[in-house]
Parts: sequence; C-alpha cells; structure tokens
Amino acid sequence: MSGEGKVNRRTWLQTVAAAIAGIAVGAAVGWYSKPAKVLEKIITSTVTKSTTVTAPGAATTVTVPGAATTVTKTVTTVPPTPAMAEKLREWWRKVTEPWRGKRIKILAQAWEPNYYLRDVVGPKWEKLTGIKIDWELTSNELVMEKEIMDMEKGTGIYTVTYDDQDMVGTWIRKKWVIDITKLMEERPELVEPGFDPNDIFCLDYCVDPRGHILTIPAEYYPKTYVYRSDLFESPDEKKAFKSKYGYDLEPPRYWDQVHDIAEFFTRPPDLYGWINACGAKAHEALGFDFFETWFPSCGVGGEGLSPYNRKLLPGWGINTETWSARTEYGGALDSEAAVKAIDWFLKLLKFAPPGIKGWIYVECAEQVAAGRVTQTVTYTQFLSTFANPKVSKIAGKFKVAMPPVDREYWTPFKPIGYADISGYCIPWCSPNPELGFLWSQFVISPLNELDRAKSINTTVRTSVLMSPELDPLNAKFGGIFTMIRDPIAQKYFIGTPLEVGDYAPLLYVFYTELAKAVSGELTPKECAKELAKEIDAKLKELGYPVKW
Amino acid sequence: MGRQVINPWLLFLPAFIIVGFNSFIPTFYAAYLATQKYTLGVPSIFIGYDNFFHLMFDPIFWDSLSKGFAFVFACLVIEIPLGLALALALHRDTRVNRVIRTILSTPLLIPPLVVGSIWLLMVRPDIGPIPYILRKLFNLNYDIGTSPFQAFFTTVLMDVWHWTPFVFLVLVAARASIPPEPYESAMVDGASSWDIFRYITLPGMKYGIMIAFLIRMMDALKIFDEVWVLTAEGPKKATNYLSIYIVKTALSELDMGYCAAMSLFFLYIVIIITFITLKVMARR
Amino acid sequence: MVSWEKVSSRILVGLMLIFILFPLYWLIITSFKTRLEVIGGVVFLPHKLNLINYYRPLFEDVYGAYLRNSFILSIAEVAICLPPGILAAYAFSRLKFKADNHFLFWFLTNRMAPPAAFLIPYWVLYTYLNLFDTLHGLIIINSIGNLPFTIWVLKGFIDAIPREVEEAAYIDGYTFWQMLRRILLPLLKPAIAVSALFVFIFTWNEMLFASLLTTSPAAMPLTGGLLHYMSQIWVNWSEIAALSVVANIPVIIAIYFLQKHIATALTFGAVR
Repeated sequence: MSGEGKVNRRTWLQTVAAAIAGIAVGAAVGWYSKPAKVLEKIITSTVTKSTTVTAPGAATTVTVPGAATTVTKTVTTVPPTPAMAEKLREWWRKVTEPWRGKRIKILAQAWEPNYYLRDVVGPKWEKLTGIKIDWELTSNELVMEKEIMDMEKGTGIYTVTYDDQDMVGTWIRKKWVIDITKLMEERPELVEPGFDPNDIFCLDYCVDPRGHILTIPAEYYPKTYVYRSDLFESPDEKKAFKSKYGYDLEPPRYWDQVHDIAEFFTRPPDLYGWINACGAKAHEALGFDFFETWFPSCGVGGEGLSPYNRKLLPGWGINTETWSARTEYGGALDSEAAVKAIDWFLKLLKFAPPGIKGWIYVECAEQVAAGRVTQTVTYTQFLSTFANPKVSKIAGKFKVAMPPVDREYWTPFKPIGYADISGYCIPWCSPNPELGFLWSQFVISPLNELDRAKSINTTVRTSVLMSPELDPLNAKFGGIFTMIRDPIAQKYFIGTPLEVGDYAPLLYVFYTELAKAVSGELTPKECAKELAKEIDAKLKELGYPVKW
Repeated sequence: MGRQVINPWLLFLPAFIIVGFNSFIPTFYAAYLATQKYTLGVPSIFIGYDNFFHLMFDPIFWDSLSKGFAFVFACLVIEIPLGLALALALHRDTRVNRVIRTILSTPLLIPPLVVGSIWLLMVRPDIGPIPYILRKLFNLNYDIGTSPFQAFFTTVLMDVWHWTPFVFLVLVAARASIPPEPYESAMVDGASSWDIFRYITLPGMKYGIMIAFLIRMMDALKIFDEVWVLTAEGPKKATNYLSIYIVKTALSELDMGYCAAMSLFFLYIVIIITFITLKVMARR
Repeated sequence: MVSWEKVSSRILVGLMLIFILFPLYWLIITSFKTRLEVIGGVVFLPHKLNLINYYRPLFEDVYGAYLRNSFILSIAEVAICLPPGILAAYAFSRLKFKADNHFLFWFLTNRMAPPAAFLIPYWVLYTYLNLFDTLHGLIIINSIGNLPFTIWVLKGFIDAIPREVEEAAYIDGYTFWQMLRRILLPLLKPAIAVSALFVFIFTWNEMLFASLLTTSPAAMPLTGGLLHYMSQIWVNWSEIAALSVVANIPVIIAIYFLQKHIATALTFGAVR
C-alpha cells in the first residue's frame, strides 16, 4: 500500500464535521417545511386530481344516477347465454376503445387467485380490449408499503391496486382512493351492464360510512376450520376417541374439543393434532391470526354482525369512543377473554409440528398439504391447492366446518372469524382511473365469474354462489360452498372493522407484543396487558382522538 | 512527477458526480427525515432531535446493536482461526492445493439472498437435513424458530460458510508474502513447528489477519439479506441485527423518521470502523 | 513418516470440503425434486431428475425476463463504472489536488454504507425523478458501491506501476490521453478485467434495491424476483432452488477466473 491512501486525524475530524453540518442543513429544511403545508398539499392535490378524472366527456351524457343499476338487474344471469355474452363482449370492445394500446399496471398480492387473474382473465382482457397489463405480484407487506408510498407521495405508478379489505379503513380515513360510487354516477357509460352492486354479497365491508364503494371486491375467502375427513370418519378412530373422551369424534364446536382432538391425533413424527393458519414466527402473520381468529372466537370485542356502529371493535378490542384498548377505558384487549385467547393459542401450539415457531402461513399450509396435521383453522384460499393431487397428499380427504369458539366468553351475535375479502381499489393518483374501474369490473364480470369460482373456489356474486353449477365442486373443496351459501354463517365471518384506520402500524404492535408470549418472555396475562397498553400508545401517537 | 499533465478535477469529476448524486441527496433527505415524526401515511411533524433521544433510550435499538456485535464477534472467533488453519494447510502452490482452494472459495461470491435460501432449506425442522441428522444421531431438537441460541448460531454458521473462504484467501496471500529465508534458518536451528508458527508465521501474517479482521467486521455488522430470508428477527429477537431492525421499522412499523435516525447512527458506526481500517492499511 | 500436522490438516481440509459442498449439493438436489417430495420430508437422493422446476419459471413465468434483466443490469453497470473509475483512480494515484484524501475516504464510506439506511430517501428520489422501476435507475443506484470499489482497486494497481513508464511517454511527446490509451490501459488490462468481473458479480448479487426500486418484469433483476417469490403465499421450494442454482452459475464460473484476485479485490488492494 502506498502512503497516499492514508487518512490522518484531521481528515477524519473534517469528515465528521461535514456530516454534522449535513444534519444541521437537513434539520433546517425540516423546520421550514411545516406539517400543515404538507397536509394541505395532499388534500389539494387529491381534489384537483379527482376533478380532472371526471372532466373529459362526463358532461356529454346525461343519465339519471341509479339508472345503470336498474339496467344491470335484468342481465345478471350467470352464466350468460351465448347471445348475452357476445353482447357483453361487444360492450367491452366499445367502451375500451379510447384507451386501446395503453397499458395498465396492477399491484397485487401473490395469491393463487391473482395467478389465475394473471394467467386466465388477464389474457382474455388483453385480447378483448387491446390494453396490456403489467402485473406486479408481491407479498402482503410490500403491497401495503408500496401502495401507501405511492398514494402518499402521489406518484401515480399503479393504475389499480389489489389488497385486503383490511385497508379500507385506512382509505376511509385518508381519502386516498377514488370513490367508485361517485365515479359510477359521473361516468355511467363506464358501468358494465352486468355489474350489479346488489349482487355482491360482501360489499358491506368495502364501503365508507355513506355507503359509497371504495373497493370492488374480487375474492371472498372465509377463514374456516379444515379437518381430515378420512381420519375423522374412520370407525377405528371414532371408537378409540369415544372411549377416551366420552363424546363423539366430529368437527368441534369449542376450543376445548379442538384441544382433545389435537391431543388424540398427535402421533409424531408423521401426524400432528393441530396447526394454526399463520404459524408463530415473529412476523406480521402472527398479528393477523390473532385479530382474525383467536380474539373474535374467544369473544374479544363487542357484539354486532354489521360492519358499522360498533362501540367495541370485534377482534381488535378497541373502544371507538375512547380509542382505548384497555378495559378501564372500555377496551377489551386486556380482558379475560383476550387472555384466554392467547392461552388457547399457546396450549394448542404444543400439538403443532416442530418448527411452527419459525413459520408463517406458507409453511403451515404446506404442513396441511403434506398430510402432517389433522385439523387447522386456515384461509380457504388454500383449498384449491389442497384439492390438487399433484401438490397435496390430502386431495379428497378434507372437509371444512365453522371455526370453533370459546365455551365461556363467546356469545351469539359476536363474530366468529374472518373473511378475507380482497379487491381492487383505484389510487387517487392513478394514471388511468377509468381503466382501473373497468378492470375491476371485468374481473367479476358475468363473462368470467363462474369459471373463476370453479377453478379457485371463490366468488363475490350471490348469483354465482347460488348457481347449481358449483355443486359438483362442493365436495372437491370440502363443502365450502354449502357453508357460505348459508346467509347466517356468512354474517359470522366479518372483515377487518372499518374503523381501523392505520392497519400497518397497529399490526406491528400486535405481532411484536404477541411474539413475546410465544417465546415465553411474557405470560398470557402480562402479554394482554402490555398489548393493550402499547396499542393505546400507538393510537395516541397516530393522532386518534383518545379520551383517556 | 513535478508537473500536472492534466487537470485532476477533470478526471475526478465524472465519478464524483455519479456517486455524489447517489450519496448526497439521500443523506440530506435522511437527515431531514430524522428530524420528523413521520409514520408513513400520517403527515410529518418537525420534532427536532427527539428521534435521536428516542434512540438513546430505546432498549431494542441497543439490544440489536449489541446482538450485532455479538454476531460479529462469534463470526470472527470462528472464521479467523479456521481460515488461518486452512491457509497454513493449503498455502503451498501445488496443483491439488489450487484445485481445493478453488472449491473451497465457491460460496464466496454466491448472492447473499441465495445463501439465505440454501440455509433455510438446510435447517427447516421438517424438511432440512441438519435437524434430521441431529435428531437421528443425537436425539437433539434443532429448531431455529424456538431456540434463540440455535437461531443465532445458525446465522453464525451461515456466515462462516459464506465468508471463511474470504479470510482463508486473504491469509493464503499473506502467507505467500513471507520470504522463505527465516524458515530455512529456523530449520537449520532445529526449531519446533510451534516455535516456527509462533515466531515466524504469525508475526509475518499479522497484517493480513488484521485486514481480514476489520473487513469481516464491517461486512458482518451490515449483514442483512441472508438473515432476512432465514429468520428475520428470530425468537426473542435473537437475530434482530441492526439492519433487520432498521428495515423492520421502515417496512412494518412504517416509522420513517426513526428509521432515518437509526440509519444515520449506523452509518457513523460504519464510518468509524472504515476509518480505523484505513489507518491500519496506511501503517504498512 | 506421516507427521501429526499433515494428518490433522488433511482431516481439516476434508471436513471443510464437506461443510462447503453439502449445502450446495442440497440446493441442487432440491431443485430436482417435485413439490410434494420437498414438503414430504428429508430425502437425500431424488427419485428422478425433474427439470420442470427449471423450465417452468424461466420459460413459462416471468423469471426468464428477470434473468435477462440481471444480465443487462450487470453488464451496463460494468460499462458505467469502469471509465469514470479508471480516470478517478488515476487522479487519486498520480495527481495531487485539493482534499484528495478526503474524497478518497468519502468514496470508501459510500461503499461501506449500509444500504438499508437509505431505502426511503431513494424511494422518494426515484419516484420524483421517474427512475422508479427502470433498469437505468437501478444501474445508477448500484454505482454507489461499485464505483468506489473500482476506484480503490484500480488505484492500488496503478500505484504498483512504476511512474517512469509514464514519464518516458510524456518525454516522447504524448498527451495525457494518448499516454492513457497506449501505455496505461494496456498495462492495466488484467486489473480492469478483474474489477469488471467483480462489479458484475456485486451487481448480480445486489438484492435490497432491486426488490424495492423495481417492480415489473421490464426492470426487475433475478435477486429481486427471487425475494418476491420467497415472500409469496404459496411457495414452491424446488423452483426457488432451481432459480437459486441459475443465479449461482455466473458466480461460480467467475470464481474459477478470479480466485487469485479475490483477496486483493475484497480488501481494496491491501493484500496482494
């Protein structure tokens, strides 16, 4: 090494001084850009953007709002007759004419349903309209991060984004997505004759308080109990179970029964009695699992099966009057029910395959597909994978049932579980909001909906759900359609409460605190207490009108 | 050379502009963010140095920093002696040794992400061969999701797999630079092999060891990709190294202001170590 | 007589070879297994060689495009880093100018900076400049580490060339540029080749920026795509293994050529 590369002490001091000066400059810049200004900027840009959206051509056609819906009712026959289908195709060709040759960019989660859209519905759309689609399929967290970045800065990268209904509360709070009801009124010519909001059964969780649509749902997957029917129905197992526990082996109603069954079927290393949907890794998924399954089914949170006007948010245990999760201020996250939920989770974890504490939903679903577990409460997204003998050992050997509840704390009219309702929303800064709207209608258009339901076991339209054409598939998918056809069962699966406005930061608190219970640092009681405390602190930090 | 044949600034500027574009704007922006209370999606508020105060009293931050240094220490304690032993075993420039050296250096340039996925497949309790063999042979439960120590140890093992070849190659080069004369005279004097190692080899390789030590220290402190894929924060935050904590703060908690403050702090630590490294390099 | 040292060193080398090679063996056989075989348990020898795991992602999915992007990106990165790198390295090695040592140090700190530190600033900057999700944006950002690397390594090599060679050229009436082209570059050829290969590999391996600043098959390189694949809801491990093997191929080829220079390059010329 020659001497020229050396750095003496003065050089070092000067570099540090320069860096400190840099920070000072940054701080000064920070001081000058006042927060109010930023807020103002976002609001004004929202306003200008949404007016420009509706400007071209809106005034030329005069249509009575609501006329579009009346038209649609007459054609919602699924599947459409060939003549109707041809008419619809013609409509699609005509309506997308002005955008032919354009591209749309879709940000979506990498789920099986989106692969289906990319591989089957997307090409159909491209052929019909001549508009190319750029897909970006990525993980849940990255979808959230990227769309918030995009919408907050107003960069306008994505035409339309696809995510869980979890975010609708955020959209309500921030007003970052285009109000689709308004768009439909202003541009009735863009509403597909087959599009009918009344036909979408899970729309309740995709609207703002005025009932305006913010997200057009594209999938509805309740999180249900899934069990190995071959084991449950084997006479030997039944007899052995009855003699050991004194009651019949059948899909359980209560968590203590789940515990018995898990104990009975735990025969390592080839068979384990239980696995939960999301594993127990210190990861966002742990948070999902709790406010989707464990807290609601143990009765954390208030009664009420409709999405609005709940004082106490089910699953989240947050009181919306005081904005507190602590019991002394009307919350429920440190209630006995919550402690019980954490307790059940930990008790059942003992019967899960080893390694569960390093896993999330990916690996958990693999365990089920590998035939290594007897029962689980999991996302029904996985059913089409479980039913595929090429990648699963349990094809034809599983059934679904309603999720179990806690015997003590859960009472009727409290939600039992979660329905993963996901759909398309249009960012306010979308480069082509009209195309985003058209694409989200196309996904659930009568042209596609039945085929989609058949291959990926989901639909959002009552007319399709009730269609007898789905009956033959019912057995293959473990009876999922029978279950969600029941309007009451449907009600017991709720989406994320729409009052939850900052999903991601709250989720972070949930999973970091619950991970401490999983690793044994805190007892369930301490964990519930700390969770409630931390959630309160976060709510205050995020600027909710806390009253405590 | 007495005269400047060309204006040095002219030669220097293109590189300066490219790196400067990448370096100055983000650094200043990070400095700006560090002064804000800014959760992504919530309008930011100027809070001055609060983020740095928070950092000073954030137990998780200090925990992750000390875990990071523990990781560095564990890696170095294994890698340097192992690399030294291998270098001494293979330093002779024979054909066989050259082939073995090439094989041993295979992991060195593999993308860190792929290293992470390789080890993920190796240590998964249900499908990984390592837990399988340990269970069959020693009836030992190996589960990086449950045991904080095993999670930590697995990241160290992964780093040893990935980077021992680097230490080894540096030390081979250092060994090659020792002239043969001292060894010859030691042989004549009948010195024991330990004495030869202690009084000739080790002093001769001191500089190489130092360099390997410092550069490994810098890289190990920054470790991200592999651990992110393998365990992320791990049980009881056992592998929550600083990079992981920073990215988690940005991607999960969405607390951008605090993330920026931690980033700047981290940057200073790295700059200090870089500076020490250069000092050592220049002393030669 | 076989000495104790010889035996123990043989054993050590043998164990090390197993330790180094077994994970690679495991990766390769995983890439040949079917999905069910992988999740079914531990199998040390696959029943048959299943090439579909290579075929499907590369030819029926977007990963072929990602692979192409990786190649374009890495080659372009070499092209953008070498010319300024050579010039600056010469300036630092041979010429004196104000604060040159500061700048040299500053370059190195950029190389050493933890990339996680500047994710958010880069995101904002790149979306404003319309560089988001473009290959050229990724090329520019990768140069933050690679250009300082080039400068430091080439500076070491230039330092080793005797100054008399250049001075003789100037006495013959060469201008600087003539000297550079006819004398210096030919002398530096091996050094340039080495740094080019390293820049190629570093760019090939970079993951964090790739996964956050690009999104579409038009710009995303293989490492970013691989991370996205791994964070999906339903993962096919054998395809991940296959793609990992594909990502390793250029690197392992490069090792063969670079083995002698790795120590020099990764220590920024401190050891040679």
